Amino acid sequence: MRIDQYLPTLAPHDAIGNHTLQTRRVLREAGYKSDIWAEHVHPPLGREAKPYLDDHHGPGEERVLLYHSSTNSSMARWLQQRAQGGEALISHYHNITPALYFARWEPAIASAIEDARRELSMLAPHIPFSFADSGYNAAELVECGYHEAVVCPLLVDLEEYHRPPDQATLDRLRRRREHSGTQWLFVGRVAPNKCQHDVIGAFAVYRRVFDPEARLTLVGGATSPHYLRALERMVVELELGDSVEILSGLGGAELLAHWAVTDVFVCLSEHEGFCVPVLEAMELGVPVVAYAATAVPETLGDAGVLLDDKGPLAVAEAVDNAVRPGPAWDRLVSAGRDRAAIFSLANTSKQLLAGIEGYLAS
Amino acid sequence: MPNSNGGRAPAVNAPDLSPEAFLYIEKVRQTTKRLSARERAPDDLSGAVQAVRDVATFDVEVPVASRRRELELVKTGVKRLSVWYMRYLAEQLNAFGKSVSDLGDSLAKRTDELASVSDGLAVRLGAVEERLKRLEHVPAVLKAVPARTKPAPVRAARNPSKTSPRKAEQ
Repeated sequence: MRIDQYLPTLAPHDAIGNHTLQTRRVLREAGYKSDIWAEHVHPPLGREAKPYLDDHHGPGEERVLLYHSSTNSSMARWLQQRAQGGEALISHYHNITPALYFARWEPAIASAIEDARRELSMLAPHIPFSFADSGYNAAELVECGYHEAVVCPLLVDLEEYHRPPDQATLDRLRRRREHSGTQWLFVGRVAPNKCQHDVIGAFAVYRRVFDPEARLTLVGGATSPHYLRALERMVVELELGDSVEILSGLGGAELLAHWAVTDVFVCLSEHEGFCVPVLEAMELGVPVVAYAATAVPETLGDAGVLLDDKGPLAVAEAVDNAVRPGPAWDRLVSAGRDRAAIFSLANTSKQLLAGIEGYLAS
Repeated sequence: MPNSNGGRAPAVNAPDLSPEAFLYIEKVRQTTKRLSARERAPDDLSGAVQAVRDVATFDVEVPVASRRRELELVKTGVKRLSVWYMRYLAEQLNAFGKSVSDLGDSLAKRTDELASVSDGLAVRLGAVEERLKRLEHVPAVLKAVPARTKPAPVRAARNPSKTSPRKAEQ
């Protein structure tokens, strides 16, 4: 039996890319043949996937096609034709950000998102079974006309976060830390739905009211360059000087160095299908303060501070409470680690395999 | 107070803040609100102008970071070779973008003024229509009044000292 995976882009340091590689490992370990087919493959992963147009398997071979749906792709129509030709097609839905967030900043991306939504609906009649990263994603799929969606979180190897951080970066950050206050961190692509502007706003109030020496680090490549420019202008407008840094292109070890000096992870995102950085924070013992939107409450559970109001003062005060050393802080860190253990690779791999076997048995 | 034990945080009690801090917080609120996602109505001219302003800045500082050192060097080289040309273009495009958004601002302001004048005229027109209706009802009212209640015809005053102001002026 063969179970092949299809995704628009296979990229390193990408949650969906890593999940696809882990899924292949789980499938192969369970005795299935499995390959990855992609539309775009980033060079470091060139050997891990093949161009999907080179896939010439005939409908005679017993196999299942597993499509990772998160963006628009010409692959969707190709898969539709395969399904119409009698091949078994299932999917894993990683969520599509609403176009509203990009309409004013990047109209081309907004248009691509609308295409992706149309493709999602187009494939619905051909997909009898789907995985979804969260209950939030599953509900969205069913609303879109899909028959069934089983929740299976992203496969994340949390052990990778316990590798040694980049020593030079760590030394530099520790030296800087001696002369600064509370260190905030948010990790995620610079995109309007992630609402980095709210994080900067809350941080500005925190500095003014609670800790004038605090620092904020935002890590993530720019999905929206125009939004990034607006964030940079905002930092100047709010007179935050060099207390805010926006970094991109960090390697895994450098990012670990940033995690090592972080006091609090603040996520005010309005749209997340799962939110892997929340999981990273919990695993690394960093308290989380997050806005209760979309799938974030599901991922965080009771292991962090969830806010219904993300007004800057409300967030600043929540952070002030979360970073104070004491029994409450200890409980927050301990609950985070316990919560992260639920999403361990062993657990999520079992969930994935159970879902696949349930589908094949039916 | 937010719940540091985990879970949903209840409403916040604001700490004692100085008037300057309140002003700063309000500034932050306005700034974050400006960048928030929002549905724009088709006739929202100010929103459309803001959308133009959001994308009317052309940046020549192309990112050159790369995980591969050699690629970063190539990108840096290309950037240095072409930056004078890109900057020349970007300056013109930025000036054009600013002019377009300024024009949009002027149009939005003028449209708001016209809308305000139009609203005022509508109110005045309504009042005039109301008055006209009342006047149209007057003959019917007068018909309904019995003849004996008609006011007596006005006669000229017999007392010469009680002259009208106009006559007095003469």
